[in-house]
Amino acid sequence: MKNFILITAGVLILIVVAFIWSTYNRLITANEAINNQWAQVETQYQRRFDLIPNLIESVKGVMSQEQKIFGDLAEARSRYAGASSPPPKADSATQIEGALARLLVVMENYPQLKSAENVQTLMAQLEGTENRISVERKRYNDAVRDFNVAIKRFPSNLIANQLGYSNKNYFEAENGSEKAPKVDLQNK
Amino acid sequence: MSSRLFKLVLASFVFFALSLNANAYFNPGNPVGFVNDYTDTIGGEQKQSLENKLSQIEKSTGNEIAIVIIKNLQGDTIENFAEKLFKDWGIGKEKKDNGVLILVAKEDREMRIEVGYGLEGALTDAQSNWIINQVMKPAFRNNDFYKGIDEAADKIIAATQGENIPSLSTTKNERKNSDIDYEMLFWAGAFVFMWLSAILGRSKSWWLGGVLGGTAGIIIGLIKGFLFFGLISIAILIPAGLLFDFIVSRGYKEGKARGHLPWWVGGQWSGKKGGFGGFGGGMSGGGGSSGSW
Repeated sequence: MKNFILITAGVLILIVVAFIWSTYNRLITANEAINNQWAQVETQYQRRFDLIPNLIESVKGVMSQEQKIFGDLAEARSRYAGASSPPPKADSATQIEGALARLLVVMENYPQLKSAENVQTLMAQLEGTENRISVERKRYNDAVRDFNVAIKRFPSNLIANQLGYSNKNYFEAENGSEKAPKVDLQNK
Repeated sequence: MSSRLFKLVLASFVFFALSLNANAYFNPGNPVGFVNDYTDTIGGEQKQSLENKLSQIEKSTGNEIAIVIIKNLQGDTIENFAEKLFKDWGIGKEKKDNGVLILVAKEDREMRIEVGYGLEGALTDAQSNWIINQVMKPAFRNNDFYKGIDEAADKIIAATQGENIPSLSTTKNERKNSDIDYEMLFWAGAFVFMWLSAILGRSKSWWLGGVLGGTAGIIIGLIKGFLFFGLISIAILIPAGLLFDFIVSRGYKEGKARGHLPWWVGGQWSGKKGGFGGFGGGMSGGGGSSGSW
């Protein structure tokens, strides 16, 4: 009988240990997935930054009176370079998107740019990069959602508390950014 | 073209707008081959020759090029649709991500070349853009979909060739080096596991696994002739058997409800057609280019 109690207790302890072990690993993996996904987002941001100077270089001759936009882009770029953690980086990236959108609107006024081959190539590259950014960000949000759900659910929240894990932020649009510049999209 | 780019920039600027319409994606079905035409645009013979060409490329380079023609996007953007479909089907080999998807939405007059992570270096966005504008668009405008797609596939093959070295022999080599006894043991274990899963999963009971676990424990105890060892085996194997039975039974039930049985139940392989064994599980990250005609 004594043996039986011992064995039962041993099995129970084994189950609890197995649970803590697997939950701990799952949370660590979920946390790491977010970091990993953020790195993917940053890679694509970098790709965008590498393209912007080329684009400016090829259009500034024609668009000489649009110095303000070029200045905004350069400023946002250096702000991004100076940022060290994800939130300010995301902020300055949003700023770049605003400036880039304005540049593209203004470019519509220069039909000679559209026919230039190097501008077309750059646009195709920028287009691909923008799409990559949106894909990787979406996956970043997915990773954050998985993590946030995991740390809130019982009983894994007990272990998440021990690890000091708390809610992570999603990528969100800035206030007022839904009033982005309107433009006529007739000419495809 | 730049208006499309503008929309993209705007979409990431107003990021939540994009997340919202991400729900419009629908899975058109399971892939039946490299060519999946849901609109009956490409005739039988042309389809076959295209299929043969792409299957040949997959055999020699490992690259998986998928062609999908759908009626419409049901309000989704072609970029989002292509990325989701790419992920759903897993075009390209796992880890190598060497897949390419040519997606055409006929009623929306939109097309996209989506490139897997592994081929982004070989097939750049600018090249995809060139293929769309110089090859596909003119042919599509003449209503010659086969010509546009066939030539686009040729260009993609040309661009991707040389980057991938054939790697069919790797699995065979590994097998030669491995210890045969362990391999036998592994397969025997896997066989018993699948056999038990199929039986226990189908049976409605949840206690049979426990009984089997207990029996196995008694047998181990008898063989070892040692009561304590037998008791431990019984104590561990009964809950393990119960848990196993519970998991597979639930998996079977849920699978049945969804109309898609889990892999371990068996009898699934008959559903696959001819030589096409499905895609390899590759991923894309939004690389490539889109256009309309």
